[in-house]
Amino acid sequence: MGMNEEERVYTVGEVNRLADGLLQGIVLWVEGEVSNLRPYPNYTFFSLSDEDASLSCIIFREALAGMAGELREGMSLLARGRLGVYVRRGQFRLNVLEARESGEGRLRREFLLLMRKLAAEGLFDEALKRPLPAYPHTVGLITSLEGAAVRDVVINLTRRFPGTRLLIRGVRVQGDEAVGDIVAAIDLFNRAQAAEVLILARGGGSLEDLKPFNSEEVARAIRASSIPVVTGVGHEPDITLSDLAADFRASTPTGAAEAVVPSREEVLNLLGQRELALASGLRRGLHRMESRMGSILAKRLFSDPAMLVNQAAQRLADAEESLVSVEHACLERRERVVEAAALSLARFQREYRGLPSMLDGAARKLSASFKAWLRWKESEPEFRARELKAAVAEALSRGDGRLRLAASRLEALSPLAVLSRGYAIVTREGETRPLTDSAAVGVGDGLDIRLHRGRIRGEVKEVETWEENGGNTTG
Amino acid sequence: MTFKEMMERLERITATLEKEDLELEEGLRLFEEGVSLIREARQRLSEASSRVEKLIGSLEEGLDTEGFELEDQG
Repeated sequence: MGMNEEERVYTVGEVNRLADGLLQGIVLWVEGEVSNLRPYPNYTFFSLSDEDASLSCIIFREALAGMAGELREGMSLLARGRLGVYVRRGQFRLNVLEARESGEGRLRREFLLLMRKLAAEGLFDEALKRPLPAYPHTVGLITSLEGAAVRDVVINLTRRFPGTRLLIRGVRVQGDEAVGDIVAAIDLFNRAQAAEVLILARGGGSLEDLKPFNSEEVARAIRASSIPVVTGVGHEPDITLSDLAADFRASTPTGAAEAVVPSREEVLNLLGQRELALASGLRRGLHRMESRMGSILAKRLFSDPAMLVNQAAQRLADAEESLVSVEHACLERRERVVEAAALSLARFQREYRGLPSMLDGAARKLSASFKAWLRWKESEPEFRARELKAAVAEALSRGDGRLRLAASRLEALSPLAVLSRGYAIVTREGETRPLTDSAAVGVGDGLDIRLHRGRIRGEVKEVETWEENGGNTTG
Repeated sequence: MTFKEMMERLERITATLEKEDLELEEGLRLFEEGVSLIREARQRLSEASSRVEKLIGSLEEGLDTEGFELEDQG
């Protein structure tokens, strides 16, 4: 160091007094095991030690007289004292001002030893911890039938998630019988497979009170349980070996109840989210359908069939509208509207089963007829036109009327209905497939945009793609 | 169907509707199923009451349950 080095030479006494002076004013509590007791009339010398250190102590007659019980070799002592140096011998020691026997000292040491042993065996490994079941039907509770713990769990669990069955096995939670009771209860639930998740609970207490929960037997029984175990023992900062062995540790019985069941509100929220997701998922499907129809109708070869299908255009709009009301209902949580919408959509589904293939067939047939008609018309306009009209009329009413039906349904799904509400069909220049993904075009590509009335040609200036997770990138 | 099974089925339905390119008909079918699952789940949440019981006896001599009531503690 050197920075405090002085030129003068100290006497031994001065050094010891200097050290004593530096320690002056340090008063603290220390816990250790008493050994090397040497009583004198006015004071007693002894040592306090733990696993790896020893501290010389002196206690004067007055302080000793104030102590409940007497000093014994090997006892656990909790002592408050002032640090100092005994100048004549240069001995560092604690001048004990008050002291009391500490029952916790040994227990705590045993606890630490056992904890190290079980940890070394891997009993507390994170990898062994199992997830708790999401919506347990039956929850097992191991605790005393009296007291705050059982009350806290029962009240919180039933309030939080109605419908849960709580099966309580009453056990002693302190005293000599407690370990056996708890181990047997864990074993019973396992052999009977009587619950999907177990709660082991008791109120807080001293280290002595928590002894059963710090026992090797209980810790091992928890780890051996095939049913996941949640502990709710005492209050912070008490931690027991049971907590360490458990699949989930809550710091109180109430916390354990909260850990095993979701709250009703959380679940209702989740249901609301799912409802919205359902509606938007279906909406997307419907739009895909519209695009597909759009590409068929974009060929628009006929004026007559297009007219034919006009009256049914509203039907698609109706289906769309019911979807809008579904989303609306979801937001407002009005189940009735949702159900009505579902019913009307179900009708829609039944009516339109197998429609896509019929539409394709119809479009193909009509297209073929039209091409034939064009050829005829070129060769002999007047006469052929009349002939064709008759042919088309016949074609439309032929057989069981399926063609006419298909044609009218074609219009039912017409994108025109959608276009009139502001939607547009966008295709790449020269192509007929509607664009559904911005990733399919590049900057500078020509676009053909079809509106309700008229068409626009444009050019891609910027492409923004939407990722799966909803984020977007611009390129 | 347990509540858990209902919630899991619902999760699968929404994931399918959101991610996969479904035919409209299949989409409608899933939508309907999802809506009825949600209705059922809400109903259970509003109607269900919890059962609290004591587990008594032993496997050897026969297990049984009996109702458990919290004692009023002032």
